[in-house]
Amino acid sequence: MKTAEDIVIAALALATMSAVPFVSSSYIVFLLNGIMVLALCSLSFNLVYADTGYMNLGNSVPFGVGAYAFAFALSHNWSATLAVVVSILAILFFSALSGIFIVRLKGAYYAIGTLALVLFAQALAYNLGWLTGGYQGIIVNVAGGSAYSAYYILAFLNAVLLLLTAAIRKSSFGYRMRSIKGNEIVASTLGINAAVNKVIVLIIGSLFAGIAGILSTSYNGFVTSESSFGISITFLPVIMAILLGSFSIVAPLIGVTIVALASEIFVTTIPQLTDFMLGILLILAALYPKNLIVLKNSRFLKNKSGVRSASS
Amino acid sequence: MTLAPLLELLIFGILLGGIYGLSAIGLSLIFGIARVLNLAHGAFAVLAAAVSFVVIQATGLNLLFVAMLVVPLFFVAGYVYEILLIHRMLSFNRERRIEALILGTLGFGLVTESIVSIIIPRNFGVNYQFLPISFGEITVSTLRLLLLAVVAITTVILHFIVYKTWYGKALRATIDDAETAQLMGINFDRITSITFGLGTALSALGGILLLLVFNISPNMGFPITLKVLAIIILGGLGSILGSLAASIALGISETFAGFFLDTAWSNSISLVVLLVVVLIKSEGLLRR
Repeated sequence: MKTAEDIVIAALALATMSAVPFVSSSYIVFLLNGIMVLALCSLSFNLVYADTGYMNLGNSVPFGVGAYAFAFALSHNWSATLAVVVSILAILFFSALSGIFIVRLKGAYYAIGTLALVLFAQALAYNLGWLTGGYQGIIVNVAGGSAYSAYYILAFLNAVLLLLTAAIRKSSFGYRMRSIKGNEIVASTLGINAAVNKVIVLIIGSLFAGIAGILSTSYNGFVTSESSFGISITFLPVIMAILLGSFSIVAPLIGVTIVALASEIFVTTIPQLTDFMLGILLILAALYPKNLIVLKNSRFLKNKSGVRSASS
Repeated sequence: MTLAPLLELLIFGILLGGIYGLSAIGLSLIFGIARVLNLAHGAFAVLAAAVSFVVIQATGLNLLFVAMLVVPLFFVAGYVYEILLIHRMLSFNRERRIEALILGTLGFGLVTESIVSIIIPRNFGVNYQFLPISFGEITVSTLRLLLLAVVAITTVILHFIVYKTWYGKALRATIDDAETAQLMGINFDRITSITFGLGTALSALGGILLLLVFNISPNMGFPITLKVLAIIILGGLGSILGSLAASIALGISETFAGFFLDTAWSNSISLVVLLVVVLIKSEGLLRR
């Protein structure tokens, strides 16, 4: 058993993570926040994709709903607690609503349908000015040090989602979802309600993406259509999950850091080329999934549950 | 309100729909032959419009003349695009192929659009008034009638290609049953490449015609793809007339929505249509 070793490594990681804000500048904390937001979205995409095989390209919809709802509540001088509760309710409502429709789509149509939802949300954000502030978005007064609290919450949530993914993978829920991935019709004849399972996993994933949205508003202090439904937040998490091998649990985290750092450098130095770079990354993800960074011997990248993925 | 502006809108809607229709037939052929939802389809339209715009700016040539140069160029572009990118992904196993094609074509579209936005800042297409075609100040501008004629002629030519030539026969045979068609001596790879060329050329023509209708923004490519997708799902696979009818319906509803609500909403109309259509026909194109 390597449990003791795992605990030591986890404790070391935890200690390093919690020490960072004390020894580094606030810019680094900001940067790490951005990375962890993307990581959370990536894990949330992965939760749905790795087990059910459905590509949810619309993860930025719950992200944006969370970001906008939180900003709207704060700009109307609601208390922070109430704002969080309202935002989470909004996320759950919208992800359940879209889930009920989206669940009927199969294969490529699922991906395209969810992507169409992003464009629709974008149009709504531009057009419903009274709610979203239109093109300018909403600016929120954030308390000093909110970047630091967001940092710890994000780190915590990433850890929770990692553990949850592992737990689900071993649970009967995980087996049900993988049976859907294997063959939806056969799964249905075995008494598995594919639709319900798909909606549930979508809502769990959306909840985490949505909370990432709330937190991004809380430390950025603003929300715009671009920041919540833009190309980066829509595609970067997908690219990260797929390029780095979505069937292992820890791999996306390592990849997230590399890809997010690279994109941060791009955005700050040559912003015009951001879309270009994202497009190239998407093509690479299509041609060489989970091959870009080869760390095959690392035991962190192995699928610990021992479940063989269908594509390998 | 009198009837005249409504009629004007109707004609504009039909024209817009006709242009979408050309692009839709292109995507429908591509999907029919290779089962590829080419998400970069609209990006080719934007690129073609941008190339034509740059050429016109530089040389002052007539747009229709430029179109005759640019459209064949995009046939080649589509052909090469298939050989270099799509062909590789088609060889993947089934599960990987679907996701690879979605991400790959999406990524290619993004790259294309970003190149356009680097070459041309924001929106373009305003300078078309200098063209000799845009004369006449009657209720319906002659330019639009001329565009309608271009759409109609192209449709007739396309119909001829698909139903009266050897290539068309091979195309329809492959759409019906790719394996049997191959057994009959049809080169699948070649037909696929040619069809990508043809489809891309149609998308390019659509983009160039759109340049005359309204301003094009570099990031319009993907929304165009989604519109065209809604059209072919609505109109039925491989049916030229079905695609045209669906696209004209979409063009008219989009125009009226833009007039009565707000132009900002007109794009959402097609998204709503896409979502509803996909939900109703959730088996989509695969059920034939």
